[in-house]
Amino acid sequence: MADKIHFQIATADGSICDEMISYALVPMTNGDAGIMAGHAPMLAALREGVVKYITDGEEHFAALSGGVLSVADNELIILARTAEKAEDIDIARAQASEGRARARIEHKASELDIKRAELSLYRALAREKAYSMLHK
Amino acid sequence: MANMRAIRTRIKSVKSTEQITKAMKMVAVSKLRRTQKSMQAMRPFAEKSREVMDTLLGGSSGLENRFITPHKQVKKICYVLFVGNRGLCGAYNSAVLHYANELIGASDVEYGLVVCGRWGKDVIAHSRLNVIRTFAEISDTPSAAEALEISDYLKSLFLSGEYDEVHLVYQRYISALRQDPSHMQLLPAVPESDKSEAGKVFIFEPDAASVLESVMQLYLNNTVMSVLLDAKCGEHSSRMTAMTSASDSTKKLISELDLKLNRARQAAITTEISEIVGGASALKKKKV
Repeated sequence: MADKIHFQIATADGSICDEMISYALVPMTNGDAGIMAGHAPMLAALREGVVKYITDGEEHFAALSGGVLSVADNELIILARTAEKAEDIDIARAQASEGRARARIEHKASELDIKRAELSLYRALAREKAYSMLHK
Repeated sequence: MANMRAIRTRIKSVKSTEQITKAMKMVAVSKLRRTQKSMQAMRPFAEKSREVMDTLLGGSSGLENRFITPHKQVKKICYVLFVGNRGLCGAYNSAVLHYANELIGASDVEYGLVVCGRWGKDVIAHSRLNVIRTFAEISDTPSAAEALEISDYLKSLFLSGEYDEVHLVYQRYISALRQDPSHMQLLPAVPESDKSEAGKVFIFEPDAASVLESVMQLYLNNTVMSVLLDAKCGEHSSRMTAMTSASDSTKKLISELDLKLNRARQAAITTEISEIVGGASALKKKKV
């Protein structure tokens, strides 16, 4: 198991993933980064996006909406605001919330609302991306 | 005879009340269990984010964050009151409302109140508190999404400068039989990290300050979520206790009514017998 790293995605609703993986590609705020076993201790901020991880040669995807990543002692933990595995994503709902967010940005409400709409737009796009990566 | 019928109807109605209270108790028990389960589910997440925060703030990092730095002057305080969705749970709701009232009365700083829970719109309106927003759509077993909505709103209140402090007022869950009204300061955050050990050397991506910002976001969401779950656990267990004692008193009432019914029946029989005996002896006398 020397070439594997313990991987966990934890959210306030519970862990959605807890297994040994060989590789993970995570969306950090300043670009995506791949992480493998034996990585140096690291703390990183994550943006809305898709995390890809490989277990037993199989690719898996999950959509994240921001959070923090921590690597230490061959353990990779993602603390996410919300997280969803690609197979659990309801694509219709994601598209609907994308539409809502776009409409809100176009209407140009207060500055704060725009920011929030943008965030929820990113989240919806991340979910759609995870979905399409799984079903391509 | 009319008396007996009245008692019978009464017993019937008390029995149906008992059924309702029993059912409500069972529902409260299962909801309590579900809420406790989600409390357990979030524990690893809460522990880990606390760990990361300790690493960042521990020692002499000297990091600052907009959620930690207090505002220069405290002119307006926001209190967030967590009440239940329904009544019939003993003094749970009124106790926490009373506590909030005392808390607000104790300081003469301007305040605003955010209410989380459906209970007591009239009661709260009657108490003339300055309610700025009500989150009425909180389910009985809250999910992270509901907590996110509340915490995002509270963060925006603080960051926009509208409010200088945010306090959560809720019933702290101690055991199934005991909840204490208490309050805690959410913003500015007061992280209790006294670990001075340097520990491992971490790489920060992109830098420690932005990681801290992300962790603070998670920490605040977490705190709101755990308070929400705490309050819900309290509500369910207090309803459970209230319904248990209600079921017990209906049982007591039923046995009292049974006794009354039996007495009334006995009295009716006795009257009947004495009437018959009286009639018979009157006939006998006539014959002689």
